[in-house]
Amino acid sequence: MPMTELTTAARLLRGELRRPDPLLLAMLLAVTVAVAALGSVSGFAQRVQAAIDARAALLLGGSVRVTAQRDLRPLAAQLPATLKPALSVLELPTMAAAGERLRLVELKAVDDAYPLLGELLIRDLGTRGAPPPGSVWVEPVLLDQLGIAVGQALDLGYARFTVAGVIAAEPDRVAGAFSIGPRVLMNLADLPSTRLVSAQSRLRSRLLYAPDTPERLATALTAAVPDYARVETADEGLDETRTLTRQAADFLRLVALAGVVLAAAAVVLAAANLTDRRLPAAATLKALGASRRLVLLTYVGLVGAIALLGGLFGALLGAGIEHLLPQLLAGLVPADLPPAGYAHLPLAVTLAVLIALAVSAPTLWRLGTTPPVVVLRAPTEAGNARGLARAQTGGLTLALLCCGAVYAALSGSLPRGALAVAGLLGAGLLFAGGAGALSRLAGRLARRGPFPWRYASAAFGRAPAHTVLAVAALGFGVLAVLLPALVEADLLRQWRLRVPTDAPNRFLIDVQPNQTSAVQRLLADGGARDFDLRPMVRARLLAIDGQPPVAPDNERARRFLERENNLTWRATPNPDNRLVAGRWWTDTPAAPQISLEQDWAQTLGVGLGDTLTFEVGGQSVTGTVSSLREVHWESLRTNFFVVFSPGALDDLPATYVTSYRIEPARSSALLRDLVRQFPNLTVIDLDAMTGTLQALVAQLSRATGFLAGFTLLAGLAVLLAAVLAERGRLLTEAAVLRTLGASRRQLGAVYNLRFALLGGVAAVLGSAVAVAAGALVCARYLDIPYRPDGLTLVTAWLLVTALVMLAGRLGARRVLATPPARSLRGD
Amino acid sequence: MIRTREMAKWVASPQGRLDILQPIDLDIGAGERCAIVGPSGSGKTTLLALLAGLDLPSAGRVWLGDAELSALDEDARAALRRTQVGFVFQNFQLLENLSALDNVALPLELRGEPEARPRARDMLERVGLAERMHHYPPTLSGGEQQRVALARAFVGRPQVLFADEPTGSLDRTSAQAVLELMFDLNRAAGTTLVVVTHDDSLAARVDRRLTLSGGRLNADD
Repeated sequence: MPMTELTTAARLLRGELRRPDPLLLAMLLAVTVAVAALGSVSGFAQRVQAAIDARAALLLGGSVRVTAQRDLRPLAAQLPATLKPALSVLELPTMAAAGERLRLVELKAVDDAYPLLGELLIRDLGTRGAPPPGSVWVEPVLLDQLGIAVGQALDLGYARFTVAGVIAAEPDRVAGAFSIGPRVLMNLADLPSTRLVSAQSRLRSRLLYAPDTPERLATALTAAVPDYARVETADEGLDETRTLTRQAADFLRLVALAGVVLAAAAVVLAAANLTDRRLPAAATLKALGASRRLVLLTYVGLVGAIALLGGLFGALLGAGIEHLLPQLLAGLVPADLPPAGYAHLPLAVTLAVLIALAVSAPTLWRLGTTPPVVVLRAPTEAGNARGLARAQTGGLTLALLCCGAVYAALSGSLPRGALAVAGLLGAGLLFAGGAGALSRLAGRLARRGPFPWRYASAAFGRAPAHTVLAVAALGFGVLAVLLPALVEADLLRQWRLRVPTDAPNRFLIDVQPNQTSAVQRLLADGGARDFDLRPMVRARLLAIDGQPPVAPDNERARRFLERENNLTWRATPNPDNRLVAGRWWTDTPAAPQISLEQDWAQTLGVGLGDTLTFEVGGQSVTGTVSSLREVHWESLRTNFFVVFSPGALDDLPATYVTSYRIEPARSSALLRDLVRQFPNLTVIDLDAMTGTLQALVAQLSRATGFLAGFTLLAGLAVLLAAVLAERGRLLTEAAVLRTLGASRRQLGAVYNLRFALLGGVAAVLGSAVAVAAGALVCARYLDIPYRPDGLTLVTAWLLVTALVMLAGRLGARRVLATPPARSLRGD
Repeated sequence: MIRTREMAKWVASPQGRLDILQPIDLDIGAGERCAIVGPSGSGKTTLLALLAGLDLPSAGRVWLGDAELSALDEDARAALRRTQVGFVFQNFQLLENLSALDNVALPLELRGEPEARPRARDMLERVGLAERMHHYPPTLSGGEQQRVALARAFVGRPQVLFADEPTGSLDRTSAQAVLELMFDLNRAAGTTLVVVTHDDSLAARVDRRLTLSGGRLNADD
């Protein structure tokens, strides 16, 4: 390409940028908002993922751990230096004694590096590590059960220890997991003196790591440790938060898609109308001898420059919001979490430029192929409108494809991208068809009424291509702003329902069958609510359809197979659960039947009609899967993966469990009563867990609301582009009308009505499509019930109509203020 | 300098073929000054567009200098216009985002000439707009804009100048001044001039009048 063309194109480009057309500002705003929205969404997702990983790591005790049902210290001693653990932990159940009183406790021996992550809080002493040799930290309930106080002695095995403090918070105690007794924490150096560790001990041990690159270490460890040891990383998150974060991620992708749709529509509108205005300039350039390449170079450069500028502004804005996110997510994201990387920003800017150029391509091509003769003879209005409509339709189609590609990339799913394209394409056709039909209706109504109405509705009723396209673009605007708003309300409602503020806050386990009535009485008298004692049998899954389960390749399934599962039996289904397949049994079926939690069934590849055999203490029980259930674990109520029909588990040893809710003021008294009367009981405090879930919901709501606000900004860009595009056409028309004697007031009324019609039709069509799309999104992706809010819809109609009218009138102010002669001269 | 043989133009319309120009044979010599006159719709602008290579004939052939325009593609015709042709339009057609100076320098820059801006400055001085060279078209009067357009047309010393109603958008005084300037510049450069006009005073000052009516070229006046 000759240098002269480049320098000439650069000079022309500089001229355009020195006196930018207002349409370029609409384009700039659109790209800025889209890049900022995309950047923030991906930054947000990175942060939430990091936060969840950090929380999971905290509960695991390290971001990577090796676990085994035997002492791992000999193995650790043999590992090469790079694989030496940062912390070793041993756990075993044993009896603690104080005088005559005995209690089964969960003994945990830790070395001096404890805790690797988080903080161990000792009441009245603050943050502490492993207890000094010769002393132990214990859970408060043990003091009640043994009738001792801090400072007194406690026997473990052959050694005597001083209770040096009471555990207020233990960072790696997996909340909600059943443990058989209160915690006693001791220094690993004291373990030999207890003589508790032998080949027969039921001990579990863990080697913990906090590496910079967990994945790499996990791979190296997996290769280095024998089969009996298992390597885990903390990337799976918690069961309870997984649904919430998945829905939040889906919703945010929707918001990002809306932002991109809006930005692309605004860019198409702005580019198409801008190039329409530049047709004479392009023809002049060609008449003076400029090549098609030079014309294309100039205007491709213009769109590219605006997109680049918008991309950079957007990246800056996105980075600014990145700094705001920690405040929005206070508590959820650890304060010392490094900010999400900036690596994606150059990619976002490049994408913005490429997408802007792609969606502008048809209109730019139209400019490049303008015949030079246009300089002498302007094309007919009809020919021009056809060209503009073709270019815009091409641009919008390309825009939809780009949006689909972005959505597919964001969600990592090609079918989702294809569905988005199909949906948007359908919406586009509906907008165009609807605009045509409604404008014809307006044209029919144009025959009567005062002049402004007749003129405005007649002009709208002709439905020239640019009006239909403006309606379509505004309709996409309404759709993109309204859809997240409609879905968000349902999502928040669902989230609040899932984690009710009155969720159970305690778990009671180890209730013996002969204690159930007395325990129920104690609970009721002590002020507990929502308790429901359920039998529980701990059993291992022995066979599926008579065959031993095949070693699964997925981590979750392996956990289900290796650990003991909690079974129960029920006559009637838990009202909190939803049956998703099969039927619940009536009465007591002759052969045992099983109802499975659907994820559990799916993970193990079990379906209706399969048989499962469980084994406990040498006894086994087999049942046929007759139904699948959906369980909301977030409710924190007593729920089971595996429920048998009544009678099936009668011969197996069972204990009873329940969750309950108790007001904080009465919780200590009830706890004391329970453990004094029944020292074998264990009560688990869920307050921290509930608090975490509620905070997560609050923070996700705040963050999603904030990011959805972006779509409003992008919607304004579309509005700006649509109004600016219309304004140019109004100038000449206004001049003619005023020359013929129309007053400014009459003209003002004409424009009010014209823009009200434009906004009103776009609002009606956009909201209709948004309601339908909301139903699809809720049913298919978010999996929540959908109740579109009538008030939101009516508000949207009124607001969009008023906004378009207001913006149109503001834009038309110059039209009314321009002397007719100037407009007619084409100045 | 300009030659046509059996050059005709028609367009397709829903009613069938619409003839705009009947076959025309025409020779215009170097340095000759021609006016194309005729009533509205007689095909004047179409003839100008075909002679300047802005449009292609439906039939026949047309030459500009030694090059057969009707055999060149659009970019080749653009290259030819770049080096040999200047234009003046009724609505001036200045690029509104470029200053007067940049507008005048544009044809030279398109040719890649190194001294584009000094030469453009000289040209603007010659048309009496040295003071306004950094102004943008919307801030100039109609007469001033047409003088900028003349400077742009002559700055590249074209062999042919095509003018389409150059005084059509101007008042009488401005029109007169622009005409004087155009003929002065034409004389100084010895440029071939082809001008479409309704203006009798303009038509009276040329060497030759080509009269069109109903797309047919009548005998020269």
